[in-house]
Amino acid sequence: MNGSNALNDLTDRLGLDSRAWLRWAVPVVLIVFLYIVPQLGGNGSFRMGEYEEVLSFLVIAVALNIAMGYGGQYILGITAVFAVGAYGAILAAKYHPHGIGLVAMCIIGGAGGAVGGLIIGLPALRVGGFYLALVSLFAALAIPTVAQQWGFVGADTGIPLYAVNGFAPEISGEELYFIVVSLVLLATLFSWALVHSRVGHRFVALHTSQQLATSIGIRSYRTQLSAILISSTMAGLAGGLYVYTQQFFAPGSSSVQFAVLLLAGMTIGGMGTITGPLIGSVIILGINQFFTSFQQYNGIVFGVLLLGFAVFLPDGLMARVTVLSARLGINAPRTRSLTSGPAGAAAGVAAVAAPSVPEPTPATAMTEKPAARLPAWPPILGASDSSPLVVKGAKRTFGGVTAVDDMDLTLTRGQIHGLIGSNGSGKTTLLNLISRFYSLDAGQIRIGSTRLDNQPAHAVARSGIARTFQSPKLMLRETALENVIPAVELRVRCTGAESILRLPRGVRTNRQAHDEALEILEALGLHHVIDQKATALPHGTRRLVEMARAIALRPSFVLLDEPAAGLSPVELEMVAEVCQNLARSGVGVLLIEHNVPMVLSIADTVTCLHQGKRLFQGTPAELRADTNVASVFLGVDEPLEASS
Amino acid sequence: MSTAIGAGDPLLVVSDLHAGYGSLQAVAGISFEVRAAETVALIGRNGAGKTTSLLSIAGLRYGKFPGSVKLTGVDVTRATSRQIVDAGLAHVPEGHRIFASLSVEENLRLGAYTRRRSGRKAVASTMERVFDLFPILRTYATRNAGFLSGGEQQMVAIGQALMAEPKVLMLDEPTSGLAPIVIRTIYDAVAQLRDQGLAILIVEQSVPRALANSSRCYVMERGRIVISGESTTLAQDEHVFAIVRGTEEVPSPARTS
Amino acid sequence: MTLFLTALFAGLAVGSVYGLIALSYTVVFNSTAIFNVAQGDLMMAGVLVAYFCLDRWHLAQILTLLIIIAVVVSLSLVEERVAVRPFVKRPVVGLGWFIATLAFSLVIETVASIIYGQNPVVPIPSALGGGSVHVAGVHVANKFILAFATMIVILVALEVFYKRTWLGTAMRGVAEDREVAALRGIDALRISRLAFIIAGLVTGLAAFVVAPIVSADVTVGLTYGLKGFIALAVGGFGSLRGCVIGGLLLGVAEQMFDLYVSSNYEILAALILVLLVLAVRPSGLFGRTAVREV
Repeated sequence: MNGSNALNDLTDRLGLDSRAWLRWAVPVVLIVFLYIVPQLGGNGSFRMGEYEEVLSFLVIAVALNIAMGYGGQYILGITAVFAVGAYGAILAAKYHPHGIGLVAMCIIGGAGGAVGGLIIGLPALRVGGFYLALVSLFAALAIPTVAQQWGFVGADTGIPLYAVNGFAPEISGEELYFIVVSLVLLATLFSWALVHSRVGHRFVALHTSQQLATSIGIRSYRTQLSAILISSTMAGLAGGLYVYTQQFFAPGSSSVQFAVLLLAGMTIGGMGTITGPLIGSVIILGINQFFTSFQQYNGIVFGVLLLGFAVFLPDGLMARVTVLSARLGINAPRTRSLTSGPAGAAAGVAAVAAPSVPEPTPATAMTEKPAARLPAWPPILGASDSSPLVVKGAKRTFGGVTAVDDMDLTLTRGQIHGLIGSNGSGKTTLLNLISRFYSLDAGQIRIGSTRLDNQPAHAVARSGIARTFQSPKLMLRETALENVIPAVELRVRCTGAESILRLPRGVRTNRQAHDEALEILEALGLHHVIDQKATALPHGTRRLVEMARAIALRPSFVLLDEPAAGLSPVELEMVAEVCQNLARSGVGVLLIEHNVPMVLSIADTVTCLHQGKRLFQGTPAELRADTNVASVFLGVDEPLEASS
Repeated sequence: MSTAIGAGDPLLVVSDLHAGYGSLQAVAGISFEVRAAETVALIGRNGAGKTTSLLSIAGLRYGKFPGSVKLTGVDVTRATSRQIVDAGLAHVPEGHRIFASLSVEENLRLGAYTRRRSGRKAVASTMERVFDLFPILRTYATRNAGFLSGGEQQMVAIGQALMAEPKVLMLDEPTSGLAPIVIRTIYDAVAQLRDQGLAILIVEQSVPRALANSSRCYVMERGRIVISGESTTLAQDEHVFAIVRGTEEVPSPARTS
Repeated sequence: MTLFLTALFAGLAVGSVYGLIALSYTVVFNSTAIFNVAQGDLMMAGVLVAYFCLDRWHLAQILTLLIIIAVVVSLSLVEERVAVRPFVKRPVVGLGWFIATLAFSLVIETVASIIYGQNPVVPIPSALGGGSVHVAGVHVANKFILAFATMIVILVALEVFYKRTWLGTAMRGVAEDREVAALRGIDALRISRLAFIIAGLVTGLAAFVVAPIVSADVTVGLTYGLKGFIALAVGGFGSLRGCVIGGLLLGVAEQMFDLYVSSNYEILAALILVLLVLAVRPSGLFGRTAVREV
């Protein structure tokens, strides 16, 4: 049917999920409700002003959600930024009443917000975490306090724009209300588009784990900064909007208590979603604004609500909706699979019975290997230089312990280099040194003439060195596919703006990232878990997904940290095949493992470490014949027998 | 140490122990015992379930699973880790973990936390015995434990566990990553403790080392005990080496999930 | 010169307030890895109790002190049970505990403003009376000296506690490695409850000596709480001495800002100081390591 195909194409292009209608129903109902509120609650001009005040605050909630809910940046003091933007806009209007309209106010507000966000965010970025929360809260306290004393901004009484000669807003009444709601809708759509773009993916990756993000080349400082900047600009814009609709701003218009209210709204609604903060904020701010008879007691009610949610329902109300829709069986995501069509959808349905934070199910473990041969994965990142990776004289100590001492190692492209040794022999340290998660105390690591050891870790990843972790690091709330996509996005060039705004190159690269990630996961036999949240995957599957992510970078070198631990025999075979396939494709593989027979069966070269020093380096055959290794490492006096 | 216990009495009796994480069964029903004045080794590949078993016995529970643990005849299956220490068990987890910002002396003293009411002299005399066992710690008594080498930290960790005057001592890979001479020191100390009547259970990565320093040995694979026997007998058994190295698959029932 | 000295001593006095709050934070943080946002409000609650006891009911100073401590410790225990324990049980991940303690502070503030109502800010009599002493040619109020002395005494007492007592050493151990502590029979949950009791004691004492300086004002809970945090950030997390130094530095910086720049915008002094320290030396002056990853 042409109609539904066209609809499918459209939703594909935008990256939508047309079957999750309950999740969509909530925001749609909310927006419709907002549009018709004046019909329901009265449309006198004072009332409308109150509605518009709440709506401006909703834009702040959207902004805060981007930074906090997705980016993990707790700029609770975003109300300070809002105030800076508002003051900027109202001052501009005060001195140029004829030239400044809604648009100008929003722009000036946005600019003011950006500046405010930078001042507060930059220093606290280095320490992050609750430092940022507290410092920004203090700023939220300081700004109104300073404004109270500053005559230029009207001190305690503020600036009444309605008293300024010549200021006459062009839009008012119902027309204005309609525009304001539309702006809230626009902001929400923007945040949705951002979250589902490469920018949003970076935020979530960084929020999950800085190590994870670094390993796929994400620059953490820059990403955090953009999260703060984007949300600050939006909050400042909300300030301009507020000023236009209220025609007034005073220190009391934004306070620390207000910041806490916002936080309450977001927590109750559910921070990890687009709609959650909206709903929560409508509830909280609505109560605060319109149920004033007991306003004195509001703090107690909100405080208890916030506490209750933080302890018992940290995922908020929207998480309940997701669970509900899962239970009703209407939330089956549609897999746009390249090879497995309906099978993907069926697997999606099977997964629906799981609660919102499901436990690993054996059903998602791999039971058979895919029959098809693995496709080639020739290097893309770092492919310009075909030199091997050379470690020379590497040394690293921790406290009084020398973890790695005078280490030499060469990773040749197209070969598998096994690294074995007992616990504490320095294997993982060496991997961390190569991937630049640790720094060298002495020695060098280079590829050709380029030195790696003086570059930041994300640059090392970008130059084509992928790695996995001893314990797989995945974004647990994202699906397997969504975990692999950011790695591809690193490679396919596109600006953040194009990706967010779905400009042609953005749409193209979004889709390319989706398809390439899908290909790799399917090649590894993981098509049945593509749409499953990573938290539902058992250990072995998680490991394979992490390997898929490393492969998705199309690196020149892959460093695998004990990939075999805890895997079933089928999964083990898959890992071995993947390593061999990588080598065949021209990638240099470093395989750290305790499973000596596995290493001996696929490695071209083996290095054995003992207490940070190199005990042996050579071919597997030579290792088997070497009694020294056998006695020191394995503690036996006869040479290693040949593996079966 | 206590003289009311006769050599050969089973001090730690584990029956059908299960443990796991969520739906993952890491330990699928193991039974063994450790007697007074003996050292028992528990070996197996990484991921076989050895560490989880020990943590489970020590009271860091992983859910409610079937099975039982008895310490000197007292059932401690559902006991808290505090009660287990009081019942006479001390567990030294892997990784020579100590309180890095505290001094060696403070670390040892904290090991006697559960005995703090028995008076300063009693605690001091126990500390003396620990220093007799590991003389080098006496020289480092006031130094921050974080600045010691891995082997010295391991001695602190073991000493700390001994401060509670346990009857059963469990050590998880006590010598991993340590120099041969330190390994010798630690195993000599273990032998001394055994001679004093302690029941000792050691998880060891190196099969020959495990067999050389124990009188009996259990081999774990995929959450179960697959081989057990006298260490001298097992030292001749090719299968043991093969299983631990992973070159041989043990035909075992499908892993429960 | 006199002006400078007066400002200096006032700064040391106000700084003692910040230092005392920072000490309470540290006691809790060192055992639970949680920063109790409500600590400033707990102190404010104590100050309010002082107002009622001394201004309204004219009770004796000693009795007032005991009542304050009882109230603040009780509030701390309630907070521990309700807002903190659920998070101490799980590994400390995310900022749920931050939100929970912030929520608790909101509740305390609201209750306090309901009880105290719209009453104006009222001075509270000091234990040492309204007299003052001559130091270096300048009058220094007795209450300032009491606050400063109390802070020093508490600092010393805490250092002795952590170094010399079983419980203090156990607390340090639990902070380092909870699992090893459990294996040695140390109950981490009990320890964190005790930490809250001690923090409550410190905060209660602080409220008693601080009340005459700040007067009865319900709006200052979060302000003092945040400034206490700044004292910590400046002095360095985890360091008891850092708390004191950071607090004194902050207090003096504010008074100097008042004197030489402008007293209207005093709050900027704290903001500038913290932004500077974070930019130049993020772990604070005496901080041991970078703030733990949350």
